[in-house]
Amino acid sequence: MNSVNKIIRLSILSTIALTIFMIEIQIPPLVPIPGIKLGLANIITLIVLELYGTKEAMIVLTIRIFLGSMFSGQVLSFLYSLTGGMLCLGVMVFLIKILGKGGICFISISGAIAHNIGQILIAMIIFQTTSLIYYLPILLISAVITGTFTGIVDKYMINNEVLKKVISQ
Amino acid sequence: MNKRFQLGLIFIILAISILGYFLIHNKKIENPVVKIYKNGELIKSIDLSKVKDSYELKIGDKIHYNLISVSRNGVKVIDSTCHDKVCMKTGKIHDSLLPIACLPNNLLIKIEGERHDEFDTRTY
Repeated sequence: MNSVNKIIRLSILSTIALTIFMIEIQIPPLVPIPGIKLGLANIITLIVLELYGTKEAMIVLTIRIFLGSMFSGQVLSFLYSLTGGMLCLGVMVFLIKILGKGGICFISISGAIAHNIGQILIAMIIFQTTSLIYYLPILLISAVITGTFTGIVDKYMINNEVLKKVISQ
Repeated sequence: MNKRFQLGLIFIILAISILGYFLIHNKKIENPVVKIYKNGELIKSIDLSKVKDSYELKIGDKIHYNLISVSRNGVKVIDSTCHDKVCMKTGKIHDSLLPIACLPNNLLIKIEGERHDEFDTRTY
């Protein structure tokens, strides 16, 4: 696999992640708790992490967050997404090293939990208050639900022969 | 780490979260005082028991603002320029630990209990 091919595939994956991210912003929030969303763009991060590696996943994630907050015009959401995303990726890299590719659902749930904890931490720093910690239980519950969904979608996408030919190196 | 251990861990996290959620939801704050923070600074503190007629407050500038309604039995955001309107959907809060947060406008409304029991602890 030459590098041009890899670059093209990675940029296609970044575009897919960015598109998912932009569409997801338009979905009105289902629960009146700030910070809860489906996190569908994490599917792409997880796929890149599995099929390519840590460095590539980091690049795709950074591009998606940077362009995503630029297009949506939210300066503050850049900080939230970046902290959450990086913490999520860190946990997923660590777990994928230990567990291998076996427990993808578990890895995805842990990533979602790390993402939400990161977001609460940065919100607590920005607002200079600890009372946002009361959102933690409900954010953890939502992380388990959305993480399971992300993990299942990821499993199906990787096991699909046609899709795998398109996205893997 | 096998599958059973992973599943167990997730269930423990879920159970703790659900328990924590109910604990937080059932806790009531006495002598509620509304504190409004903008950009991390306390800009307004309202004692709800002293509010007679309900009134509206506009926090922010002309382009990015939140319209807050304050009445005797609670405080809520009735209009906001943010894109997701989470702060409006939170509804009225009166004595709950959960604050109203508007992340895009960097606004936080929380309820704090004012302590009046200072003299009780000073028993000689």
